[in-house]
Amino acid sequence: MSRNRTIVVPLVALAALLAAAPFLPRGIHDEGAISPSAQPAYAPRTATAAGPTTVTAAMRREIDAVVAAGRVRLPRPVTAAARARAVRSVVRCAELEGQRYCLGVGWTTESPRAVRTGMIRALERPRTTAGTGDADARTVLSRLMAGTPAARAARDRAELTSAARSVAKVWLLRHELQGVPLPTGFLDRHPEARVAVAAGTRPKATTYPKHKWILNPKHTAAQTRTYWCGPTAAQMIVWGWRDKHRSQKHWAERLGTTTAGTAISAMVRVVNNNTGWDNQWHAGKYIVLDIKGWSYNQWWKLIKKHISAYTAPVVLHPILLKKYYPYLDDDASGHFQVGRGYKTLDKKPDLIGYFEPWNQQRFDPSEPYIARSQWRVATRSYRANEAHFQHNIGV
Amino acid sequence: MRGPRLAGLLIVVAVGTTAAGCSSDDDSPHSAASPGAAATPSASASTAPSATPSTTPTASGPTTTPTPTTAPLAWRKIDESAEDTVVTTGRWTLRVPQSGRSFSLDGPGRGEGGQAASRFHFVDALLDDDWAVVVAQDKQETLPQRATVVDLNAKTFKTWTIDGSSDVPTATGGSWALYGDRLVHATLDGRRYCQARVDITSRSSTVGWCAPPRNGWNSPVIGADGEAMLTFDAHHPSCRTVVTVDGATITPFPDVARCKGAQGALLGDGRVWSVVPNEHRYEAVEVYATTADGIADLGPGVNGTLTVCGDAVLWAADPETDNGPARLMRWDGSTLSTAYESGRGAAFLGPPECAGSALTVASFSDSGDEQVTAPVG
Repeated sequence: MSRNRTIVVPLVALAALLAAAPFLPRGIHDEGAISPSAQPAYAPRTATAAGPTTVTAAMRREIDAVVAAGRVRLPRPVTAAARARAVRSVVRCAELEGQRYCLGVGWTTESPRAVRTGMIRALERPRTTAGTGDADARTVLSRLMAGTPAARAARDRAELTSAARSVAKVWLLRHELQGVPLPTGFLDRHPEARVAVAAGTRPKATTYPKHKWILNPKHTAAQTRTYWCGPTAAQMIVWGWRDKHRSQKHWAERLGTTTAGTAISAMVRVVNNNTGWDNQWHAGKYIVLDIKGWSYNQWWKLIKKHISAYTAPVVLHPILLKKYYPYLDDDASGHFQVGRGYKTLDKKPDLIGYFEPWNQQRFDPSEPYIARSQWRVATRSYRANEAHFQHNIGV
Repeated sequence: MRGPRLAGLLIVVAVGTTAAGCSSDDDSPHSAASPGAAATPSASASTAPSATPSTTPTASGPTTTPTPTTAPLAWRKIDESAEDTVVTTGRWTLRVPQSGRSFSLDGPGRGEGGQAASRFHFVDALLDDDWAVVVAQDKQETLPQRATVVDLNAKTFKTWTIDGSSDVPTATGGSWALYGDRLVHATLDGRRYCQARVDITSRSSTVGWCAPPRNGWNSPVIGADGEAMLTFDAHHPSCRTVVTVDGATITPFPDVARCKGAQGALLGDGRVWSVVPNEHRYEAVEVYATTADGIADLGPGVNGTLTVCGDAVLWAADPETDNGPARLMRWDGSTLSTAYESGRGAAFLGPPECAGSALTVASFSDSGDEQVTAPVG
């Protein structure tokens, strides 16, 4: 090769690269599509989740205000009235770019007053049914109240800041599943939520295959303590990512599980901190999403999107009542399961696939052993999720 | 639902992580077993089910598939939340609110009720024409259950209790069933899990059949023609056998696919039973009945919902199509009918509750939830 040619070829290549640069994908936020940069056109992401949102100054002010409102001394509540006052103190909500996040509850469209009223009702009517390991209302309240004002403030700030980073994901889910219009200029402000499309074109409507399931059904486990449905569900979710598993005791420690159970907020935190299911090619950061008021079709579309588009498991959060799980011997508490499949074929009722941590036979000779991997008519799971006092899900 | 004290009785083989024991293909929702020869069931079957056992009945006679007629019962809407447990005979109504903390019993000129003891909640509400039984259980299932029996014919509110101090004590959990003055519940005989049989009129109890070590039983279904229940072992999944119960003796239902049983009931000279074709769809069963000529395949049903009431066996069936109604199916020994249809959209039924001469069922759908009751034969 001559010396001249040695110089010319790289120069030509550099020129070509510079010419093409405006059309190349710009990092993680453009989902790899090529579009003329002179006339950018964007559509909301649907094939993958939104990436992390930048916490704005306005969000920080809102977080500061909500945290400051909680810097009060909280006496241990021993009466119903005191518990109601405690709920009003600790279940505080932040408005983050048009979406509402309530401490200990998650993302919701209910008013803060309605959220607190729901919690107070759950406290007034405690279910004393057998527990499988989901934290009940009293446990949720006591964990929200735990610690000094300073310690609570630090915990609240961490929870709200983490929530703020998921604002774009929440907006996209509400837009796609609930038909809520995105605010004006939202996609311009949130590159983590958009995908570039050719100018003048409209993105295709999202469709999902009729059936799909993820995770290896051999990577399942039965909970070894009556109150370890959370650690076992977490064990199976992480096992599905890492292809090797750690003990339920390990996950119980990570989740802060006690004999009073596990909180769904802890489940979501552990999935985010210990797997890649939360990366942008899967579900993005997992959030606790209130599904109260969601129709079955909206809920089902969420499940399908999570399994098919995100290829990531769902933290199911039902209440185990016989009317929803008729094969059970009697009613039981809230519960965690691992959602991992769906099937919609031939106009038959929809089926949801999940891993069931609860080995009923291990703790009760009145019930036979059933396989850990189960499929069932999805409407029952929807109703069981809706009937839980928190009516939320980890996605 | 659980009972740490009883856990030692039934130690499952795998501790810690337990594979589902299936391949990815077997795990699919429609991997129903293919027909094939099925072995004769055994009362204490202890071998694991084969990988693809048949659920087809093994009778020598022909299998027919009757087409259901539509024959709704005379349903009456109960003015109750579908969230609460309600059973009614028509004359008497027994209610347990969703919290399980109390019960109320309303009848001709009377209204009674009770509160569960501290840490207890009501888990079963049984009603017949002459008796009501409410069963309370503690949250941890470490204490014996407490059943309150109410004489509906007494002029005043009279109750007596069956609990851990009874001659035949209650267990910490387990199934209960009431028919006439016959009541069955779980008890322990040493380390064996047994059935207790109570004659309510004489208030006398006896120990009935006891499961072999690491075995159990549930789903007792009692009617005018006798009692059936499900027995099972500690395999993964359990080998499950539907049996007839006669005192302390059990006899496996003939013709039922080995280890695949779900529930059974006796009706006249015949038998009705359900089986689980796919262990990964434990809620979905296929229902069969004996007929004069052989066996009738009565179609799909929902596990845990089979009951005998009046002169028929009834069970819930999920919608046939995604927007169809859930159905309550009825078999009277010769005719299959649809006795109730729910509203449409996201529909399903709760387990039907028989109370003497009436049947109650909770119905859930996009069209609205309801509880309905109807007199039976």
